[in-house]
Amino acid sequence: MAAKMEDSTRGSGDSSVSSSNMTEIPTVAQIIERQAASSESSAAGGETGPPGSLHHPGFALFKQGAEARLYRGTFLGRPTVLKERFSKKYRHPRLDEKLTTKRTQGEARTVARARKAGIPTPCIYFVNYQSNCIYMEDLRCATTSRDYIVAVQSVGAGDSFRALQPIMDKIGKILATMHDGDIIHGDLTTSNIMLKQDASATDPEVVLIDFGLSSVSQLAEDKGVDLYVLEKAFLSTHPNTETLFRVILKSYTKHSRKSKDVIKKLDEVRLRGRKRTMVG
Amino acid sequence: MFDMTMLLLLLLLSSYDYNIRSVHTMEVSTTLDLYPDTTVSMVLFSGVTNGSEVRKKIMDGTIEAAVINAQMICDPFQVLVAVNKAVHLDKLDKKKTKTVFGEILFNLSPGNNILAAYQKFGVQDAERQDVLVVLLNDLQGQQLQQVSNIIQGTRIPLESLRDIRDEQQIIKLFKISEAERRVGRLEDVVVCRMATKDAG
Repeated sequence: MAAKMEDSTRGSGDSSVSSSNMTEIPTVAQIIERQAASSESSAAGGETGPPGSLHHPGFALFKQGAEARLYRGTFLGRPTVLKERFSKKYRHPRLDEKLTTKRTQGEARTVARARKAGIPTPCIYFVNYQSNCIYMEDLRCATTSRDYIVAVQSVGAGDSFRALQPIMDKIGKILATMHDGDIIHGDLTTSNIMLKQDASATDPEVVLIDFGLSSVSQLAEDKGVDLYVLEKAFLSTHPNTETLFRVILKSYTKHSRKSKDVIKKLDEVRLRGRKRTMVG
Repeated sequence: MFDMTMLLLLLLLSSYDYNIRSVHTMEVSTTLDLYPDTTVSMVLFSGVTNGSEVRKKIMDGTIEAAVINAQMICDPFQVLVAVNKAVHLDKLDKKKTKTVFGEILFNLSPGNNILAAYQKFGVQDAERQDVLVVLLNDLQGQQLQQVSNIIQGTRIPLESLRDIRDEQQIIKLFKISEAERRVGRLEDVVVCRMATKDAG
């Protein structure tokens, strides 16, 4: 029993074991494999896709959000995700055009900045400013931290904390690096924090996605709010994970050079309510 | 006797197959997904001795191709990304340079100075160099023939590009920090820089 638990928590790249044993905690690699297998079987009509993907031959729509549509396809031989920002009809057309382009540009700029700081993000291949489309790397061998946490918790084993702790550690470290680079993600949720693990890797790697609402700021206030957004999203999506989130904060404090003020602001924000910057 | 001739025939046929395969990797043709009416051909020449002459012929319009300093290229994918952007801007008539080939060179460069891009990524004045030639819509192979007649060098498989690339020079020119270098493969770091260059 003890030996089995040790294996589960190591998170090694052993994806050859498909865990049908529901009391065993899955590794990140196993979750990635499970998702890949299920998407393969349902991908049949991927090429033709629903009406929205007509003007992107070779790409199939797989997600629709408030601001953008996501498509999957191939670009210059590489598996690619196409993020298309669409216009909002209720806006004034001139303003709408400017806003949409500005958001696209901002996202590209922040991804470049994040990478310079050493934050893993999908590689951007091409930006079409006419159609506000971003063509970027389709992360293979990856899952969202949301899906992984859900999978681990659904197994219901007592040591889910031990399995998730190293990953929370890594997340805290990445967020610390990001904030030290004065980058505010703006939409931190467990769906935007991906876990990538190639067959050759021993540990999963944290990759941040969706920099659509990101900005640049040195203010501890903004960084505090960024963490607060994650905390709210974390605790509402994953019940009973207060101790897990504390691991993120501990790791953040350990790896950030400016964490003291940020954590102070986080405490202040918690006390007063949602996303208030108290400026002006 | 019969077996021997069969064996020889088989050997001959298989070597013929090998030649066909290696010829194909000498010149790689692909179409752009977003612009399927555009075919891109890439050929790698090693030990080119008449760099200055080649450059003159590009400037006077005899050669219509992008002739790239192969040391500065990480991967053919990087070149395709530059070509895609160049064709995209060409169709919108929003190029920064005069020709689509000049635009390819400009896209490969990290900066906004066109001349510097040509100097670093174009054919050099060196006595010996390796160059990657990029042709557009050379469906009959005529342009390649013409270019091959002018360039004094040996055609080698495109795969050799990985051995030619000068990582240190690339890292220095793009000012890639250690942190950024660790994010992924060198070609991905460079491609992302290229793609986000004009985002501000």
